[in-house]
Amino acid sequence: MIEIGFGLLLVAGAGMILAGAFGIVAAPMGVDLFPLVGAVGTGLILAVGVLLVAAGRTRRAIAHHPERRHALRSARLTTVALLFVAALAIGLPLSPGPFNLVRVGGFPMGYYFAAQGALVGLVILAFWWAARQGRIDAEEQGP
Amino acid sequence: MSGGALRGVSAAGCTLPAALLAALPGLVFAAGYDHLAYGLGLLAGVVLAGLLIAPRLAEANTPTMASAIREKFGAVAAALAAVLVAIVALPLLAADLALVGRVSERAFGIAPLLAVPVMLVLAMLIALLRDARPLELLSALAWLLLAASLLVPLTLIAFDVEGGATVPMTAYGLLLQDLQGIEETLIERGLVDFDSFSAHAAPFIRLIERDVFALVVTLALGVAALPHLASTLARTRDPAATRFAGAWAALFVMILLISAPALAVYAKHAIYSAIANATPLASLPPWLEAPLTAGVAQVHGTSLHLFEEVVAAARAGSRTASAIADALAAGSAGSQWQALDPDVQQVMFAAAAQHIVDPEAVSAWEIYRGTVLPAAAAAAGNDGAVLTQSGLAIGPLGLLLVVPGLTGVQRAVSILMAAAFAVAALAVSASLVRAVANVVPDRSDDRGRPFAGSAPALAVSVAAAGVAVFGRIDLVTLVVSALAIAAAGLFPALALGLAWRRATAAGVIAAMVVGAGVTGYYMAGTQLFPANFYATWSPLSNAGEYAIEEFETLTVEAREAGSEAERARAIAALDDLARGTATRAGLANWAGIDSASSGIFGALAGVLVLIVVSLVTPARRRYAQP
Repeated sequence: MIEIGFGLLLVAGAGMILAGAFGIVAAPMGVDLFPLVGAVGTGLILAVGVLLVAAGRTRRAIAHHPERRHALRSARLTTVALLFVAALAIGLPLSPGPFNLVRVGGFPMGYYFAAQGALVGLVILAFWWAARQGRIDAEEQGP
Repeated sequence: MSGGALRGVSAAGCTLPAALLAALPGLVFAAGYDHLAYGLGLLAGVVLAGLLIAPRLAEANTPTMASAIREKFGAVAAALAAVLVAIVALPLLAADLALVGRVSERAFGIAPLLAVPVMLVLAMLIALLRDARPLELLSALAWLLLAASLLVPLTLIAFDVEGGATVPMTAYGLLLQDLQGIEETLIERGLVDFDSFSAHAAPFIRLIERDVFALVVTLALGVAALPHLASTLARTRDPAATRFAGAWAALFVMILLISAPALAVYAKHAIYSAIANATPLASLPPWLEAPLTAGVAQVHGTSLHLFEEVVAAARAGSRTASAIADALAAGSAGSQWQALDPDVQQVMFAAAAQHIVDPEAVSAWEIYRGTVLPAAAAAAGNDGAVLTQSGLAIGPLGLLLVVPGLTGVQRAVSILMAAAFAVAALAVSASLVRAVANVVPDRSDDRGRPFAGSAPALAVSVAAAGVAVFGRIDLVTLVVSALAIAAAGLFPALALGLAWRRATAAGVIAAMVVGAGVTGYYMAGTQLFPANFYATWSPLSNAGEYAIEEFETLTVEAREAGSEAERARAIAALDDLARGTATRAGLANWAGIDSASSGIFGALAGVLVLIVVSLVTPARRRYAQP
């Protein structure tokens, strides 16, 4: 329950930032937070909120339907993995700006992520997902 | 676990279209940061195939995606999927065979007309064996060779540049920093032409953000839906082993994909250093000889390939410059010759005539850089006759040919590369042929017979060989279009259709037709009839004010043209303006998305149609009444 409440709070916060930015209602406390947080930041807040709500709902569904536990846990794991794929393959290369301010071993960091970092991350993610799904299968099917 | 590694390595060897992998360093060289999207998209596709599609095949206990679709959605959907698989496989096969043709001509002196059919027969033999083992081993070998052909030159060049043994993948960061300094110097001295130049690490210059996004999505979904990838991963039909095979495949593909941008930076550093040092054209670095000989690079519109064609024509009896033009018109060098300044043509012809008299005296390379290049530079207004950024054009496939010359052991590395890409193209071709052969239902009772799908496989292969030998399409365009169609037509049906229990046959069929249709229409519209496409969809275009004004002026010109010739010229100009060029986006687009990235529209339409049609049609009985 607590994560659903917290998730709704975050969604509301993102909505308020957007509403202030587009002049639908007055910005809270008279400060327009949108330029500070940016479109990507607002999107992240929104995404974390939606994720928390979804996680809470899944947890409740698992508690209410123990017979669908295995399917629900697998679906949740796959969804999380897909979100990470999207973040690594799309999110990182589309927002190199802030990372490029830092250099790592000569690379502008945003460039490094798109050329190598995100790819290494995708591979680690693939192994993590395979291992994690294997563990879920083992737990749910019993000894 | 180790079985998973072997299956992963063979999936990695047969998945990536060899033509695209060969072009990858050149693409990153040309557009820097923006083209890193290619590597990201390809790897994300392999991960998605392991995550979404291969487990479904393993669970359904069917070896191929066509049979999985047949089992769940019936014969009509399976037939449609089969047609789509053939449509996707044909251009991929054609691109890989064309690469084999070019590699064999360049490295071993075998004409494509001979090499391509031989390769095709080999691919069909391996593909149509009942036993998948030989194909698996060939693919693993292909990966090993590819990895060697990228990592060996990378290590050698890094050793040379850094003055000692390093890990090239991490060491090239400092080189990139140095390259950025060289780029700044070139910009300050006004030595770059911003039509073709963009700073290597600067994001979103050649492609806008939206386009990078669409390209990554298109490539990822297209690779994920490649018919042979998921079935290679799911071959054991054990879900746990399939999942790990996918992860291993991602690891091995990643090793190839992070090497390509590193090679691009090393080569770019060498080339831009030569430009910054004002290298005279008469002493052009020897490592540019290979791409210029192959005709995949040009200096001021000329190449050694063109010069050698001229020499051959002169030897065959052409005695004047116009006779040369007629002799070359049939070949690929014809338009290149036509575009040259008459003075340059004259110099080239005279040099060729002299070369025939005494071929041993001076090599063609020395004549080319000593005589032809200064003339070409003078005609282009390059008075100092030095290497310039705008004067040197390197095609996507050309950069890989620069690499062996930078290693210091040119001969060995070029042979290694040629062998690697030929074997990789063979492995990919064989896998594609097998995928097409697999789409026809196979009765397991007639054991002695070859695949029931041999006939369509043969038809697709022969058509692809024809395109490979006689077609003049850019290989990257060919591969990316095929992946876009796969993303649009096959991905929604495979990823959502096989996983979602409520999906119906009607929904899957509609998704395949609409998805492939939307992407096919977008590609055909923006490339074949761009002016009409823009006129139809002008509210969706992201064209700027000036371009729209120009378009309207030309439209009026076309309408009020006095003669047929004038009208035709105006209409051709309209199409060119709407289509755009490699360096300037055209008007014919939806929201600025390039036709290469059009898979995103089809995939989106396919998913929506799949959901809507499935929900309005009755659920399949098995699930409706549990």
